[in-house]
Amino acid sequence: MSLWELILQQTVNGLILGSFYALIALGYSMVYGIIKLLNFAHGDIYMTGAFACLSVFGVLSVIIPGVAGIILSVLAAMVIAAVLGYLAQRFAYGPLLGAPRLSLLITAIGVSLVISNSVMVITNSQPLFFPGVIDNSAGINIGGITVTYIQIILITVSASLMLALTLFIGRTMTGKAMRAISLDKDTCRLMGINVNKIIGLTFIIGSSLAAIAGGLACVYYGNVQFSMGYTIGIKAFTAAVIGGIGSIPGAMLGGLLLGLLEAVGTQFLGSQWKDVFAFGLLIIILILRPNGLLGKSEIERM
Amino acid sequence: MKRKISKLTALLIVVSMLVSLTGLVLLTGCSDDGDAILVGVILPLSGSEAAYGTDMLNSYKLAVEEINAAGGVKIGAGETRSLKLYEQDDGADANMATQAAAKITSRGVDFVVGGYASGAIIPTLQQFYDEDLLLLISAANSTNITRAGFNQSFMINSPGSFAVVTLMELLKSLGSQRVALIHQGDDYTKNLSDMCSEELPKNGFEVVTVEVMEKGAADVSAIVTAIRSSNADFVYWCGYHSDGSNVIKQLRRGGYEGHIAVGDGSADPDLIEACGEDGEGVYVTSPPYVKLAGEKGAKFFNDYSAKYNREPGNYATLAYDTIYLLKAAIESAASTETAAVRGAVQDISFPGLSGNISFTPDREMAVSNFMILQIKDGDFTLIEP
Amino acid sequence: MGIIDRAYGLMDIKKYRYGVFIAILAVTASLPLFLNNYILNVLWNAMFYMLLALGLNIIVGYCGMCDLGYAAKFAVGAYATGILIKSFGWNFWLTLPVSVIAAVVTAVLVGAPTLKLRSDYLAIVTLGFAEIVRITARNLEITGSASGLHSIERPSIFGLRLTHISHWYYVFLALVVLFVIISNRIRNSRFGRALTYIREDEDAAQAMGVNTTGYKLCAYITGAVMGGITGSFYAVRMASVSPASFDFTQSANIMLAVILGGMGKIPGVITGAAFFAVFPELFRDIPFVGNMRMLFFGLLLIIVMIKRPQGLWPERKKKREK
Repeated sequence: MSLWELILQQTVNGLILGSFYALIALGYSMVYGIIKLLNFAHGDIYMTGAFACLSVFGVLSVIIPGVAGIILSVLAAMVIAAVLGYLAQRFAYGPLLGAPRLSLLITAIGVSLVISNSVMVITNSQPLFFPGVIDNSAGINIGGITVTYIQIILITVSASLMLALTLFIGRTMTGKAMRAISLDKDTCRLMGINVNKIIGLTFIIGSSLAAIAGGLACVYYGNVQFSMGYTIGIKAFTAAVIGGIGSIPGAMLGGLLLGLLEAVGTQFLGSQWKDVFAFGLLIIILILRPNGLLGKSEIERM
Repeated sequence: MKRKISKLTALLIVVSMLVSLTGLVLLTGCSDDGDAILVGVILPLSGSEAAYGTDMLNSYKLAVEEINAAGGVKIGAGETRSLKLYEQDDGADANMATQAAAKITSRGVDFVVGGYASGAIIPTLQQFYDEDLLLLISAANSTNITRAGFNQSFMINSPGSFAVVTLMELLKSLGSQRVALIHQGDDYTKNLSDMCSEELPKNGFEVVTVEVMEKGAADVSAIVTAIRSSNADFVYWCGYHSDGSNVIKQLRRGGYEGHIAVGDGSADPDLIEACGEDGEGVYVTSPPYVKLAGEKGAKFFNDYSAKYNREPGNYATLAYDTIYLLKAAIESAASTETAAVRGAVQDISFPGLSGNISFTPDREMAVSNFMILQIKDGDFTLIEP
Repeated sequence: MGIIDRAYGLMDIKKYRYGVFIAILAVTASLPLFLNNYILNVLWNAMFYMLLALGLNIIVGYCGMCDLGYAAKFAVGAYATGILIKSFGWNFWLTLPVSVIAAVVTAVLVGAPTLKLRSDYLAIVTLGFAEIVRITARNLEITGSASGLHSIERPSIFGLRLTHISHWYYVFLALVVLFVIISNRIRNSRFGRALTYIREDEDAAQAMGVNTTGYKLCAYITGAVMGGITGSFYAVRMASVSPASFDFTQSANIMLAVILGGMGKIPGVITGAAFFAVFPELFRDIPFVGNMRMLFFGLLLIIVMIKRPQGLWPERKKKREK
């Protein structure tokens, strides 16, 4: 491998990993933006998405095998995760919107425990494996390295989802309502915005995005276990903060950047130090830019 | 803000607190074990390592049922006693393990078996030692356990240094020189990787890179690229099977064409299923694989599969042997006294499913039971290097 | 007003307070005489979390900073003691000052540049720092790498070698009493009032001439030192230290104990820690339910938070006019 190929290959690796971080970070960022909650259960929603996709495909592949079956399974996973996210909001977070923010954080840890341990009990702590339906080696040659079709699909899907979300938040009335609520909930109520409905919708969108990430991960990596949401949840949260939590483009940027940092760290510092490298840079970024890369500075009121 | 507190309420609170405390005492205190020999089991039954713990517990249960059905353990002249398990969850975590050990010792067990995660079992050694209990460790094989200085703990699994010897035989027969190691940053996997880094260069092999894959991390493509750029011709995965399949698949997908071998943490039939085609040709430095352990092994394999509806995992055989070894030691000591049974275990030469078990004065396995397997046509086959 | 609040009210009345305190102390001190090892172990674990929670309470409860990496402070103390005993053969009691210094140094290193950040950013910085500490400990030889340090020599006190659980029960009981007294003194001091002010309204505090960054750093250091001392005692109690004990779950657990109990309130924090340590143990012996205990724990967390958002035993505040 020449140095050029090496750099290119690690960039691709970083971008793929980064797309997963970004998709999950979006959910963190949206929820944070609107109710100032660090939703610790979000990584577990991602896990649920992967788990749902695998289970649905297990049943569905009898009737609809192949790619069509996978697409339907991912869609089903989205629905399941969206329902779960909505239920969590409705029954766990909803009653606490006026409470101290740290209580909300603990509730989120509670929800996370409930989801991950339920799946642990259901799967008997065994990892599950997605059947090898997709050809993972076919691809095109770019500058001496092979980029597989599924990698291209992954990046395209996440990029278009992010674009769609940006347009949705920026251009529609619902998106405008979301932005308004993140600024001032009480005034929004006075203005006739159905705040609870919009908050519920935020959870639904965030959870669906996480479920897509989960479904794609399940198909791409082929490995599902109940603890898979934990590490990636923390990483995605980190990505959201690097980008500036509450900012949609920030979450994408943060995710991709973190993915790239990890790939570079692995190559040049060794994988045992890659997280030290990534977290170290995170701290430096935050010291230099206290609101993240794209976050707006605002005065905080507790 | 002032509020009147009736004395009655205060009394009620105190009483209810006392009642709940007594409840906790009673919960642990009363039990009817009859005449059985009570064997404490300390294993991770919840948390990320629960799959392995449950697998081993299943084996213990199977062995105990068989022994009891066959009349129990013969102690001296005409006295037979049945075995009874008392399992506690250590969550593969040091803090939880000390609670579990305390619970086991408080119950007044006669012996203790179990031990999966070395990091969880080490803090409990002192507790078992204080209560004068014999501890037979089925899976954990960090040499830190036996060298911690408590002479009542025996390791039934060969220590990692034996795996390295087996690995070098494999390397020689394949003619590989440049080895890449991947571990998972915990006690067992890093211990194995460190031993390789130390021993391989002494024997003419080169360790070109050591990588870490965090447990449960899905993406290892960056590691794969790093390994490829190091020009390794042999990758040794020191980690567990739940992540191992991911590593193997991504190595193959990422264009790595050299040999791959996995350590005993991955010697699980699930690995074959999970890897699919990518798994073909992968080597395993494995603890005794039950399917290849003759007639007795086949019987165990069938009984286990029938009872639990899954194939026995990588430590199931060792767990099964642990109970039978305990039985043999009690019978040869003709006593259930710890000192006598300890002596019997130290001197034992026990023909288990996993090969012959006997111990060094350090209470580690005297003879390696590691074997080299290769995945061929979707099954493990034995390789003679 | 529920029965729980009435019970709490008992301790809020000044003339009863010391009586109740001494009664509780007398009862807890006599427990090892008639309880078995297991229950002593559970209670020890509860006290261990009380110490950590009381330390974190200074940072989170008194000052309102969100620290998701408290395990790192506790790790620094544990490793300082472990290394000094293992590699340099020090006496345990002599390692304590070093452990305190190590805690202060790390707290200043992390705190000084970051405490001016918004609380959520502070959360991620502390989380990141804790991961850095854990991974570094895992990679270095001096910290015993992934296996950690084992067979750390148990200390002696007045010639008695501390090995049995009942010894450690008393040691940790004494520490809890000490930490409660410290927390109480801080709370009623000028320093404590400044922290409350910062927690309630940082801008106003600053406008009134309170040196917010300075006070926040002091609170952070105090919390870190308490964590470091707890870590030192933990290292010798367990006779081993390993990186697995300092992961994010541990930090989250400590945070959970503080908030579950009611942040800022000493009896609340103690209740929270006890609840956290004891509740999962109740499930140990129930068949089939055993490995669902974290599931029930999660459910209970949600319910408790919904029913009592301020925690089990919250701080009483004067009602504000709106």
